[in-house]
Amino acid sequence: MSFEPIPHTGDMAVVVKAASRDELFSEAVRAMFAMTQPRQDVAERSVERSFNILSLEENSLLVDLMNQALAEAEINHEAYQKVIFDELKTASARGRFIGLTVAGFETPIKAVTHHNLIIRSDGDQWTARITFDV
Amino acid sequence: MSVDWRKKFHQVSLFLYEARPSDISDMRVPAKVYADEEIFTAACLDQSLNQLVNVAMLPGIVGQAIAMPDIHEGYGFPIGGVAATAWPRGAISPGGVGYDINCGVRLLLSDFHFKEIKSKIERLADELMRAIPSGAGRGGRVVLTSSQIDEVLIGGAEWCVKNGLGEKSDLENLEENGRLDGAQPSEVSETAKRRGKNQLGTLGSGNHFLEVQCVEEIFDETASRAFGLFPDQVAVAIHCGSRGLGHQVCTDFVRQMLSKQDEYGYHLPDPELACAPADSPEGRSYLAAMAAAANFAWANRQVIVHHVRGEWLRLFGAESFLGTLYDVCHNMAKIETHEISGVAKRLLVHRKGATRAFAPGRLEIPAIYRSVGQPVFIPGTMGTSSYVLRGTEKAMTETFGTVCHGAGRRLSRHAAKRQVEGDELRKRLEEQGIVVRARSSAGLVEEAPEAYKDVDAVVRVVEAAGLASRVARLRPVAVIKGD
Repeated sequence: MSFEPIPHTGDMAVVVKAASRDELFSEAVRAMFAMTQPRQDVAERSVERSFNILSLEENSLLVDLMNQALAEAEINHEAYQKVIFDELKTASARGRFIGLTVAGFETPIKAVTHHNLIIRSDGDQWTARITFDV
Repeated sequence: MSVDWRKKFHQVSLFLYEARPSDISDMRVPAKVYADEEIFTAACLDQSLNQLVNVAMLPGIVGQAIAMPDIHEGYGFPIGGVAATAWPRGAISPGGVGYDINCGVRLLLSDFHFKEIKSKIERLADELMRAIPSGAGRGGRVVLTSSQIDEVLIGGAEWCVKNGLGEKSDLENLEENGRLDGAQPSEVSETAKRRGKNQLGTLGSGNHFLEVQCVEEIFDETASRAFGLFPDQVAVAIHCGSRGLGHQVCTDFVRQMLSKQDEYGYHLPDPELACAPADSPEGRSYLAAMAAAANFAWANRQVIVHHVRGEWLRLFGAESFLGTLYDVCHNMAKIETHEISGVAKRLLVHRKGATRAFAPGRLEIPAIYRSVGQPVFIPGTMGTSSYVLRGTEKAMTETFGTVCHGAGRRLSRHAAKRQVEGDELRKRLEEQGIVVRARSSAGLVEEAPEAYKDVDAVVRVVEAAGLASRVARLRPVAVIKGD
């Protein structure tokens, strides 16, 4: 598994690992929705939602990307398993969230926070630690 | 690098610990924690004291940064955190309010003794579970148009009453009468409105709940008479907030203010403390959006009250009564007047997981309660007691008229799931005589009593420190988590 929940007193946190920055950001979104425990929609169908985000810097970009995914998911009753980037720079990203319609979430997430946020790369592997307000 | 907080915080009295600016650089004011030894020891183990020290660095902070005994790690502010900044130029920090703007508790009182309706509690719980959505699956029963959502953002609980979703008498007994002035729907993003438009009248998830309770013990006869409480009385508590709309407002403004830190010369140690001067364009926009989200939360609780009354009337008849005792907020920033060194000052008081608890005589308190002090509700967790208290003069002097908001978590959700088994928990609660209605056992387990501090201990600290005085203790008889 590319992600692992870690303890946080009030809410939820996760460590995500991937081989590249694109993959890390995509896996972070996938991990987030896995942790919301989506309920299957009886009329389940595939969905795509586009995004175009301009942020301050890399950490903020990950938070902004994930919060946009959260908002779209809540509004449209969807959960995303993948992110396809048409462009991913240090502080901007453009692409699509790919996922499925859902009936709801067992553990809805209020927001992705900057709390304890770390993104690092040691050459072979990218790692992110992210905390969610539940 | 871990810090030994016992070396930084001095115990100044039995239930008060303090770190001083002379001990930690960049602190502008002292940081104070109301706690007993056990609570303080636990606070040393997560980041909550570090967060409190960071709060003491906020630009324009006045007096002290404070944490209540339900303290635990949050974002920016610790949960249970309180800070006042000078109005209008001191900082406003969305992190000092929280993502769930105006999360709070409404307490309704019936005219029943528990023994009169005990035989109908299971049916009541079934009907409330059916009638009150959590919003995690289906949306609320009131879906707002674009123009209506703006009306709700301005009108709050008052909008509900005007639209047949409440009683005028409800408004008299809500903090701020259920509506904060200064709300501007134009400062709330379209994304926030889209998140909120079908969430009115929904509980939310996590630690949000609807609980039928019974008054178990009266501590203060005078105050309980003023509040309308009597032994064995049936009450209904509703704990929820501004749902996705409020969450998005906080997300939007943390993002916006982060981009302005350099411009205002702010160098705070935590991005979740991002702030702006309250009278700056960003500060004014946030306060207007926060007020709008707060009004949405009051409307949310009011619609739930309306649905609860509908089921109550159906089950117990048109002669039955379910009135509002009071409604408290525990995530909010408000402009208030407090005395600092004997001088009345206008301050912007941030309460993040902390409840206003004003003393007798304050004009903000409804006239019927003014002689005894503001009602304060401290909900427990499933299976544990909740408390009604009243505010005191000491709280006005020491904590900007503030006390705790609940028991405060001590275990992560992950740890709770490892330690507690869902079916066993449900059975344990039922053996205590508590009817449980929840869609999933996983959600129950995360909110197990073991996951929280001892609410009796938290309330004991608050009372022993003189910040509030117990009026009554209530026990749960039914817990409903919403469908």
